[in-house]
Amino acid sequence: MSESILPLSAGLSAFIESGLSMLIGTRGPDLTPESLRGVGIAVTKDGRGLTVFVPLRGGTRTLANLGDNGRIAVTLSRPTTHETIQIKGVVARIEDATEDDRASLDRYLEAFSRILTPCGMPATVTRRLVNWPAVAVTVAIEDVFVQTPGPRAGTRLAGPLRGVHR
Amino acid sequence: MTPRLESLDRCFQGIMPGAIATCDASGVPNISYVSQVHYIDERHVALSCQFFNKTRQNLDENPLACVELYDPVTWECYRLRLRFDHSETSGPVFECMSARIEAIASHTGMSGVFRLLSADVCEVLEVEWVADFILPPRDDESGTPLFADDAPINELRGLQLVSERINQAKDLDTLLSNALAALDEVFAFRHSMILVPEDGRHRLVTLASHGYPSQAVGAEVPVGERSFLAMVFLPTHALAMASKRSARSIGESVSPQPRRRLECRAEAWR
Repeated sequence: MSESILPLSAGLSAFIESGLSMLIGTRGPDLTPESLRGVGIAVTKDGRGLTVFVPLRGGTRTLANLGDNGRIAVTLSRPTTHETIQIKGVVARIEDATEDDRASLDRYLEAFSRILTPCGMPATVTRRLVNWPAVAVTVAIEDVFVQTPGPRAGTRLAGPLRGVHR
Repeated sequence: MTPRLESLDRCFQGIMPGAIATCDASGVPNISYVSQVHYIDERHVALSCQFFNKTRQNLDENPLACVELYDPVTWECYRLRLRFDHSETSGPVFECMSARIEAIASHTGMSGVFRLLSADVCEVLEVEWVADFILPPRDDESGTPLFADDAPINELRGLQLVSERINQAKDLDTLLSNALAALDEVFAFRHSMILVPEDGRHRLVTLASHGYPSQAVGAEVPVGERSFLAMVFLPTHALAMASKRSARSIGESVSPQPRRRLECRAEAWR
């Protein structure tokens, strides 16, 4: 546990919530990995956790895995600069997303859509991504790694670049 | 619905980066982008390994992986469940994947730093089309916005049309200009050039160009030893680069100077 990264700084929290490309990794009881695109994310008020929004459609195995063992990895990337982080943690709570959450997921999709436009992906396509119905998964953060492509991808973001996870 | 792997050829062009989930022996999952997923045959793909990263380390501990690929035109999503089999550091699959990465590296002066370590060959256990990942286009939207509005036909019919135009040419100039114009009309390739080697293999000369404001015919381009052009020109197989802009930004995130900038920003996250 990299306690020194917690609570997350305002800068990192803002980055996480800025409408990035988001991947979710989980695994089953037999260690079979599962990949899924997330549809929204928010840093919890205390800065020590995340609320990760998992789409119900296409997310069946992910949700089963989270219910089974709670292990989760979330990678967030800004497509224009490839700045990327990966957050690892354990699920604390799983509940249905609310109508209020739905509005925030639509804002997330809109921001994601804007980020992708300069990459040549038209908003007419990205706005059609399905983000509802969704489940809100609260995650206790255990580790944060810088994953920006390059030889130093995998550096733990806690303390002065001390650990390398690769 | 279980699609055939070979029908996903657009997903293998590297336009949209795929995702790969792995898991270490103690059960900690990892999720990352994968720059190239290379189609080998109906039962096998190869993953590009440029750095000995956590994904690669996990595959040694637990050979199972889940890869998501996206169609760059429709953005439909496909999930492949894989079992890592072996790594290749030579041979046709490695050479083909390496040439594409070398082209990206040469474009940003990163040859030798940003390079393919191995082509990690995986058996494909299952292919899944992810239903309801994206809504279908509305009736008033073009279903294929990245193509020309009337983008038609299938590739075979398109090639037939281009061939017919080439066959009508009575001289070389018309043949070249007809070919490029037909590629524009049929496949929406708005900008194109034909370059041929001259002076041994040291420079390329432009024989025809299409879609550029000034006629570039006759323009000469030196082929540096490790230049982007050399990477495209010297291999004896076809090399398609999805996006030079995207290649450049990936290369820049790896190269020392802009990386320092990104690392400074990462410092601010602490």
